[in-house]
Amino acid sequence: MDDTDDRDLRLSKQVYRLRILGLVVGCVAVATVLHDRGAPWWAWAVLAFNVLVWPHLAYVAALRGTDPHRAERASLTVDSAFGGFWIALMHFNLLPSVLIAAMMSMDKIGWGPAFLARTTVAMAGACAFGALLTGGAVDADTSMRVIVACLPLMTAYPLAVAFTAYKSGKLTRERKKAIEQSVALREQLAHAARVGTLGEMAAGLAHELNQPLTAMHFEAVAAMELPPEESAAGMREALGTIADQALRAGEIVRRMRTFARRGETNRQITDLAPLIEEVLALVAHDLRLNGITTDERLDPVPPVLVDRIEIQQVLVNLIRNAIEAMAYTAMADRRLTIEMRTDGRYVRVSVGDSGRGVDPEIAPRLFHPFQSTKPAGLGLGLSISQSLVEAHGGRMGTSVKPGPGAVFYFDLPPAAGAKAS
Amino acid sequence: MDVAHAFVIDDDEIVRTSLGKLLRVIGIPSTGFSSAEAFLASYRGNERGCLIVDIRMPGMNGLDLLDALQLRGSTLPAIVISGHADEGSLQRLADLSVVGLLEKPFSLAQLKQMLVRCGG
Repeated sequence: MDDTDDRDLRLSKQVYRLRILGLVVGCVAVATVLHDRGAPWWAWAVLAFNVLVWPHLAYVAALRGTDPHRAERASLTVDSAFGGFWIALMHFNLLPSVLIAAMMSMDKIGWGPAFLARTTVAMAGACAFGALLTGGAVDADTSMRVIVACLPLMTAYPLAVAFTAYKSGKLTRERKKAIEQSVALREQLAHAARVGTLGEMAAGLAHELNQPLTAMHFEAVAAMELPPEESAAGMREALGTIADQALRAGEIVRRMRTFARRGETNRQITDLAPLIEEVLALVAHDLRLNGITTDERLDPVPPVLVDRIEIQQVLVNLIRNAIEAMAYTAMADRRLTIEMRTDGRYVRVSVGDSGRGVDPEIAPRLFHPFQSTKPAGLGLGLSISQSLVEAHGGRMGTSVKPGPGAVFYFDLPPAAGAKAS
Repeated sequence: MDVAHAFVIDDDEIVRTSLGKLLRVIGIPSTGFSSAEAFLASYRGNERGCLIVDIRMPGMNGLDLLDALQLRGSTLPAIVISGHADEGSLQRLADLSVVGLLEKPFSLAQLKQMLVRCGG
């Protein structure tokens, strides 16, 4: 999203420079005509107004019109007519006129079909006025009349641009504010959901944390009780185990703290495979306790640009759903399948279970908020996950078929031209 | 403390081996099992000593194991260890005539006290 904005801004500045160039050339040409015909003072005043005000307004328009298509449509007609008039006024041959029209017509939409359409319209206008001017006898009065006829339009144009810029700027500001608010809201909601999930996992995590603490205690006590002749070697061995177990406990705490962290979305180029391992470590206790075998099929995939915690949250949610879905499955058949592969356009991570399956009638509503198939569920997990994935430019879905087992997946676009850090 | 042998059943390998070490330094030989199923598979019926069972385990949990042993007519006294015990588990413990419950991590003194009850 930021990338696109940056590119738009750069392009806008480019367009702005081109337009100014077109304007300067056009103004010199008009000034020549005005001078030749001995134009009255107000004709010069209008020209001066155009020279002084137009660049600023063009700049404002270029910077503020962040919705390129809306701005493009709004200014297409005015721009084209304007281009035609400039050219008509210049009495030059067609080639430089077309060039100037092109420079003035180019918008931040780039050199695409819209640009071509606009230039064509401008060229048609130029041809028509060129024919009008050169077809009859071009005397001083005719030229003057044309110029005078064009001056109101020349004045109206910057005003139109100003109006469009103001409107689109206002719209953009409002939209930006609304987007910021919804992003903040999504972050808060996601954080609340993570904390809630951690709460549900607390008993398991406490047990998980208790294991290394217990082992450390046993090792230390056993080492202290060793007879003197075994003491030195036994101590060393015990200290080794204690050191390892302290790290194990620390890792558990670190994982929990990271997961519960609150903060603004922070996207980084990320390899998904280690992220998946991290999530599996976080839910390891739930998996082990429920006797679930995990099957990982992780193809090598390009890195993605994601907020690690948010994607972890999506995965934790999917895996915990899978675990719950297998509550009534025979112990030997409980199987969690994590797959990762890519088709070039997206990286897909899917979580499959061998549980009770999803009723195809419910499937379309699964991602709606407050739709839960669990007795104690709020029904927010999947809808929050979906909004997190979509905020990453991805999509989420499920391939539900009748019968047991369900697969939920999410797709993320690969980070553009990036290597994992 | 005349406990002939301790059977340690805990799915966490490190906890199991460190508890084994602790038992060894206080002079009690022990055998570790990584699951209730593993213990049942090797169960002959003539074991003497004391069971030390973790409640929370994947597959068959500690209480299920004690149920199964009771069905087979086992009289092995058991010490139940647990990270945390909820009320339901405590209720079942009473029914299973377990000598005691130890919450992880427990001290050597607590362990010795329980083993005395096992031996007695």
